[in-house]
Amino acid sequence: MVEAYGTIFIGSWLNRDGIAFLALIALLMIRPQGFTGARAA
Amino acid sequence: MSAYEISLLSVIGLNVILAVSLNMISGFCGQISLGHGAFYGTGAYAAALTMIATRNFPLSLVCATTVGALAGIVVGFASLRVRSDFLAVTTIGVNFLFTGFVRKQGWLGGEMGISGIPASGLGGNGNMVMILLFAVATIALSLYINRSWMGFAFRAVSEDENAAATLGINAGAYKLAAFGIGTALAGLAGGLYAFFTQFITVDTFDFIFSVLLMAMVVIGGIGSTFGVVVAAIALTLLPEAIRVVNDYRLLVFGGLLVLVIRLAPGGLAGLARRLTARAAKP
Repeated sequence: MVEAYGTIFIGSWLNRDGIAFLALIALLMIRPQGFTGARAA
Repeated sequence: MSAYEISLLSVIGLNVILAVSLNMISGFCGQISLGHGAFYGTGAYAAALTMIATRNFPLSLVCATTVGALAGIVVGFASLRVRSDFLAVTTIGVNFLFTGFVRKQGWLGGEMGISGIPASGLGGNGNMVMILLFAVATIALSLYINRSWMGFAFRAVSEDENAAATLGINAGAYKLAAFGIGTALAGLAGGLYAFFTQFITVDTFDFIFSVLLMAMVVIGGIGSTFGVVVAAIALTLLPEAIRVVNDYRLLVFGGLLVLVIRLAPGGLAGLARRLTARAAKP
């Protein structure tokens, strides 16, 4: 979904692979343990 | 010297700079980076655009180095947030982001790249000598850093970040320094490449190239400057030697990588150390 919608909104300055990795990097920076993972002690 | 030999020596010099600079980040400081090609490309594009705008060759190289370093420091901040495998994934992402972004930008030439980059004015031989001099300077810098206090701090961070922090080493600052120095050199190599070919396209700086650079570091021996230099030279010459099976080039490199990790985890440097120790035994 991120890739598909990302292509619509920011597809003119970033390709599909770039959008997918942008989302992945953003997730790793904001919540490295993932959406449902427990925070490491 | 023929044009082919000049070209080959120039590529060897560039790969030595790139592999040694990656070794500073991944070998000395232990921060796995699989996106070194992006910093190489950043430098190349920065040099090309600066040269087209100003026709000033030294300024273009300074600009390539600075932009490479700045990009590396920004990515280095990611290393403060994520470690090991996640950092590797992040740096892979940076490489894909770079290529994905450049492909869509008309002012960067998009898929077509930038052609007609003004010449450095040094000629083919002059460019080659300059690249080789920078390669020697990079090796000297790497050896100096390895023996300096910074090198000790890098190794401490690489071994155990938390233990290093208890010794008063600011792990975050040293990680940023490793990224800054390593990517500045990658940017410089990119600038040199732009003047060497006078044509750049984004495909040159893709993820596969970053993996090839990491293969040079792993096969040479992570953390060993001389091992990495030997591997960079060998892996640059290898495609010339096996040109008959050029389609299977990546398979050969991949196979070599697996063999080295399985049989000689210390790379060529570790192998040389083992052989020397065995020969020294009475």
